[in-house]
Amino acid sequence: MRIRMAYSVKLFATAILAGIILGIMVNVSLGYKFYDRGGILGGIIVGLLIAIL
Amino acid sequence: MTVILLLGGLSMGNNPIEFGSISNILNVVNSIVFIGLILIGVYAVLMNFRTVLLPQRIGRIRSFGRQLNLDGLNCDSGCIGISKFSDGKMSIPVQVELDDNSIITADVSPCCICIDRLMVGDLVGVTRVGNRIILQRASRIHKLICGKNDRNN
Amino acid sequence: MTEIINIIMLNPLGSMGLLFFFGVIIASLRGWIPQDVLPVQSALMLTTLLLAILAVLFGKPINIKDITSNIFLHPITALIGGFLVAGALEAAGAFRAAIDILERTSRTPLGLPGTVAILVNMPTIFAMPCGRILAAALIPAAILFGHILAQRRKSSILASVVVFGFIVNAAASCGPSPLGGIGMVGEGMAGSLKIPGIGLGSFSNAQSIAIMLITGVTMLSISFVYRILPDESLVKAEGEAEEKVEKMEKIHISAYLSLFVFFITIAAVFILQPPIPIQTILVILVIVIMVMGDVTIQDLIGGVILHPIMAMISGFIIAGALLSIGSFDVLISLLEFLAETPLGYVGVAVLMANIPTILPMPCGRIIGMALMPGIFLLGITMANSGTFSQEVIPILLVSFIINAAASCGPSPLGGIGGIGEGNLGTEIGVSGKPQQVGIMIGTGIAALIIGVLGPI
Repeated sequence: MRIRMAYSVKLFATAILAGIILGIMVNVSLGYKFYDRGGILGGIIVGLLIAIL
Repeated sequence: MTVILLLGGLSMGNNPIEFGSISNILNVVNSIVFIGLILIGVYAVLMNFRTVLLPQRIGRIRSFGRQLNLDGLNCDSGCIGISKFSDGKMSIPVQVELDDNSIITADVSPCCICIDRLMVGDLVGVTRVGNRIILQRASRIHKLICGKNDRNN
Repeated sequence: MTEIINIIMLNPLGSMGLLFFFGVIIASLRGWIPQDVLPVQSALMLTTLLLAILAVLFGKPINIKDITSNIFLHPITALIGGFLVAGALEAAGAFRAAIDILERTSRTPLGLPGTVAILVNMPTIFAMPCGRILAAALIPAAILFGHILAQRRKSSILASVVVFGFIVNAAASCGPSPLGGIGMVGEGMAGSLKIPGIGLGSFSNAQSIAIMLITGVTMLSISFVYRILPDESLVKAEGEAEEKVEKMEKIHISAYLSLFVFFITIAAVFILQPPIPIQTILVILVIVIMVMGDVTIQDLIGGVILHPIMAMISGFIIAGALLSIGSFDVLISLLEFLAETPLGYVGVAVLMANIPTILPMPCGRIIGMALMPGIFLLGITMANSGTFSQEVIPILLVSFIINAAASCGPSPLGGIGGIGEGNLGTEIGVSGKPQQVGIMIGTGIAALIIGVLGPI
C-alpha cells in the first residue's frame, strides 16, 4: 500500500476556488449578498469534501 | 455457496489453493465477491421479471406518499407530491387500491416513477419480496386480461 | 454532399447501423415510439437484433463475442455493489442522519445559504451510483429548506431554486461515482492508452468540480432567467409535513456511525489506494453497515435498482453491435468530413460531447455506453491528426461523460427532473432548459480543468 501524496495542491486549490464560486452563485440565487459568509463557507466545505472524497 | 467457492477456486487456474499465501486468499475473496455480485444482479433481474410478469396482486395507484388523503392540495396526475414522505428512503411509498378495494402501501423505485411515468390511476402489479411490497407498472398482458385501460375504470 | 454519399456507400451496413441507432433515439424522444409500448432500452436491444440479421444478409455476421466482449463487467459489478451499499445505508438510517446533520448545520454560522450549498451538492459528495437514490432520499430536505427560505425571504421561487439545483446535481452525480459510475468506463478506455496520470478515479475530481458549477449555474438561471414558480400550497404543505416529522423522529446512533464509516471508507480508498478491487471493499463496507445497523439481506436487495443496470447493459450491447458492423468507422469518417468545414475538429468535438444533452435519455448510461467507443475513436483521430496532443482523449471523454451523466435530468422520457417538477407542482418538462444551460457550462468547465490542470 502506498499513501497517496497527490491529494495535490492543484486539486485543493481548484476545489476551493470552485467552492467559493459556488458559494457566490448560491448566495446570489437565494437573494443574499454575494459575499454572505454562510454561502461562501458552505461552498468551501463542499469543495473540500469533494476533494477529499 | 459451495458453487461460489468452487468457482472462486477454479478461477485461480489449475494451481491448488495455498492457504499460507495472502495474495492467493485475496484472489479467492475477490473472485467470490465478483461472482457473488453477478449472481445478485441475475437474481435482481429475475425478481424484476417476476414482479412485472407474475405479480401477486393487481391494483391501481391511489396516491403517492404514506397518506391517502391529500386534503387541500392540488395534486392531479403527474404530481408526485410527497406529503408524509418516508424520509431518507430511496424507494417511494405508494398507496395502491387492490381488486378487493383494500388499500396497501407498496414501495416503488425512484427510477420506475420517472422512467415508467407512473401516475395516479395507473394499473400496477404488487409483489411481496421479503418484508417489502414492491410495485411495478402492470405489463400489457395484465392490462389485456383485466380488460382495463390506464387511468380509466 | 457526394463525399457523404461516398462515405455511406463505402460501408452501407455500418451506415445503416448508425441510422437505426439515432433513428430509434430520436423516434423515442419525439414520441413516435410510445414508451409505454417499447421503452428505449428495449428498442435498442431490438435494434441490435435487427442489425445482427442485416449483418447476416450482408454476408458479415456479427460474432457474439464482439458484443459480449463490450459488456464490461467491472463497472456493472461495481454498480451492483454500489446499490448494495446504498440499500445498507438506507436501511441503517444513514440518509435520515444526513438530513438531521443538515438541519443542525443551518443553526451554525453557515446559516441557510451555507446549508443549502451543502445540501444541493450532497448527491455529488455521497457519489452514489445512481442520482435517483439521493434524489428520493433527500428531496424532503430540499423541499423543507426551500420552504423555509421561501417563507423567510418572502419569495416562493426560492423553493424551485433549491429543489432543481439539488435535482441537477443528483442527475450528474453518477458520472464521478467510484461505485460504478459512468466515468469508470471512460477511465478504463483512456487508461488502456497508458496516458500519464490516467487511471481509475482520475476523471472523478474534474467531474465533481464541474458538477458544483453546473448546480450553481442552474440555480442562477432559475432565479433570474427561467423563473419557475412552484405551487405554493403544495410546497407549504410538504414543508410543514417535513417539519413535523423532524420533531417526532429519533435517529439511532448507528445511523450516524454508518454514515461516518461510509465516508471514512471512501476517503481511505482514495488516500491509501489498497490493492483490492472496489467491489470487495464495497462488500466489506456492506457487511460492516449490516452489523452496525441491524440490516437484513432483503433490505440490501431492495436497494438494487434495475433500470441503471439494464440501461448500462443495453448501451454496451448496442455499442458492441455498432462496433462490430463498422458503424463507428462511418461515424468517424463523417466527423472527419465535418472537421474540414468551418466547424473544425474543435467544433465537432463540442458537438459530440454535447450529444447526450441534445438527445437526453432517461438514464445517461444508455447513450453514454453506446457512444463512448465513438468518442474514444474521435479522440484518437484528433490526436493522430497532428494538431492535438494525446491529452485531447481524456478531455473529450470527461466532457462527454459529464454531459451523459447529467443528461438524464432534462430528459422528457422520464428524467429525474420529473421528481422535482412533481413535488413542486410545476408544469412537466419546465425544468429542462435551465438544467441544459447548467450542463453545457459544466461540460466546458470539465474540459477546461482536464485540459489546463490535467487529471487532478
